[in-house]
Amino acid sequence: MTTSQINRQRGRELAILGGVCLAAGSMLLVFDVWTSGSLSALSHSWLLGFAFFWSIVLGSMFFVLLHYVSGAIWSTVFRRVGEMLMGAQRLLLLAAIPLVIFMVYNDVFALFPWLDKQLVSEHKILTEKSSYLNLGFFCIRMALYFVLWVGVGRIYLKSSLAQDSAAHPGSLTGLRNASGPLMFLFAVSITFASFDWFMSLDPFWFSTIFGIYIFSGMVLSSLSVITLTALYFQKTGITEKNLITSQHLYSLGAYLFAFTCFWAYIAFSQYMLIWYANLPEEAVFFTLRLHGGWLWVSLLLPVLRFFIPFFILISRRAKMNPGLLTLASFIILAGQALDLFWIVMPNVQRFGMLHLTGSLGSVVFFTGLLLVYIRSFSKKHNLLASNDPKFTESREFHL
Amino acid sequence: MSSCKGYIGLYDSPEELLRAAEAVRDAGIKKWDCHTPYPVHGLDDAMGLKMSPVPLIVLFMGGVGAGVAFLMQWWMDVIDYPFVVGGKPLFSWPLFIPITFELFVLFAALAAMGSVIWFCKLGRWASPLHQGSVMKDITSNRYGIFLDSAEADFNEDKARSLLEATACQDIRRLGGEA
Repeated sequence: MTTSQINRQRGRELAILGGVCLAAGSMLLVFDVWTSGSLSALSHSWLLGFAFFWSIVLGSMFFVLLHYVSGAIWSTVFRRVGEMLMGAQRLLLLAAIPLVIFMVYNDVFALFPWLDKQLVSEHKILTEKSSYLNLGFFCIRMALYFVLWVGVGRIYLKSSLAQDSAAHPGSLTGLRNASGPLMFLFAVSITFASFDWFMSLDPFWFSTIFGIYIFSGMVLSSLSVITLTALYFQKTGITEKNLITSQHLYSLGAYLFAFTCFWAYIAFSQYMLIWYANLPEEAVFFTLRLHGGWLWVSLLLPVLRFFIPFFILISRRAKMNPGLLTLASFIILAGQALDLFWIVMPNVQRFGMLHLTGSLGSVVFFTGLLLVYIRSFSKKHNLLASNDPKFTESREFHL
Repeated sequence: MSSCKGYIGLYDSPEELLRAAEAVRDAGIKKWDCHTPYPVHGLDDAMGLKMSPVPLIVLFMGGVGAGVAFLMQWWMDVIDYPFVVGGKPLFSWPLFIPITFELFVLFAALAAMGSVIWFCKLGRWASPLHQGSVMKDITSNRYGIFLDSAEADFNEDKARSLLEATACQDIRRLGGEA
């Protein structure tokens, strides 16, 4: 354990960078509201940044649960990084409070159109959906999601940290047994959360594949952050050197590559089915995004999310190269931000404006929050689950 | 006296095999191979294997498959039998993507299978390794290093002494009686 406690003082730049991001993000958000005078843009921007943070945190939950449910050995050296990110659930809960405020004062912030009573009464389709889409039930569902996520995050992190100082570390059988059912609950919760938070931004529109679409971006962004964080910890000497071998990098790279293809598969399936059937209530989503400035965003999206990462990561050598893997991770994270921007921002009430500054500000703000969180966690806790019985085997993992 | 086809050294554990493979690699032998009952981790490095050409062949053939599929559908739907379906334009490329993807996968998979069979030299009638109980031992619990007599400056004494230097207890000469 001594090895992983070395150099705890390093990594101050994370706090500095995080602080700069928080300040710059807030300034951009204020600037956007000040120039556009649109509080609807503010609420949508906040939702966008929140979604960016959410996908990293919840994707890490998937990573940790998958580690347990599959009994994986190789990922033991990355498990604590995943648990650390998953432990940011409480920050996520704090970031959700403004969303509730936006919804309560929906007249000003205009976040979800289904909160507008007049609009709902004018459209039969919305009136019939209102038994599901109403403020009370929405908040109950949101509370249930957070009970599950915060609970799982705390329990898995605490048990894992307790293992570090245990005299006879077990193999965390309880967590392993719980991970299967929790994986099911995870899938249900993120599917409904994506329906609630993102699909209902346009309450007329629906897509049954939407939950999986959000899930694929979620796994990609959390894997990128796990890769970047683990490499950063190793490079700055916060964890020991030479821990992550080319074999570990290959596994992470293959994981990223697989989900890059998965995203393309889901995104294209969604597009093609809606394009082919061409039903007005479904096609409206793409009609909006294939005209005006949004057309360029729609064209950039597959390039940034699929083609560039695909061709970077396709070769075996690239998957083992820390530099190229870092580059791919940053591109994938940028793709995730663009994807969420593309989902959320076309719904801003003032049609035709991209609200770039506010969106950028919100993503930068939440990136800063994540950096500050990582720094404060790394000061307090062990960053490797080095007492786990599988740790040594994971270190020596060979394909 | 028939000609010698090579020498095989049989080991009892993967660790011994890995050590021996490193020695053979460092001796600069080109035509040799390891035979094990299951995949041994780290053997690629111990043997000093270079990157296999299979991935490039697979990528190329996958591209050929995608191109063939896309052009085929374009020719069928736009040139050969233009037929408007659902009010869509004749050249509706999103419709071509699923089959393009499927043929990409099909060509890539067949190329992978074919090239692996080719590079593993499968499908021959006979191999010197089928002599005696060599393959029976390798497919149950032994780990073998085969030195091929096709090596440029192959010499029976040299091959034998190289295997002896790796502390091999069971060295067998393959191909005819000495």
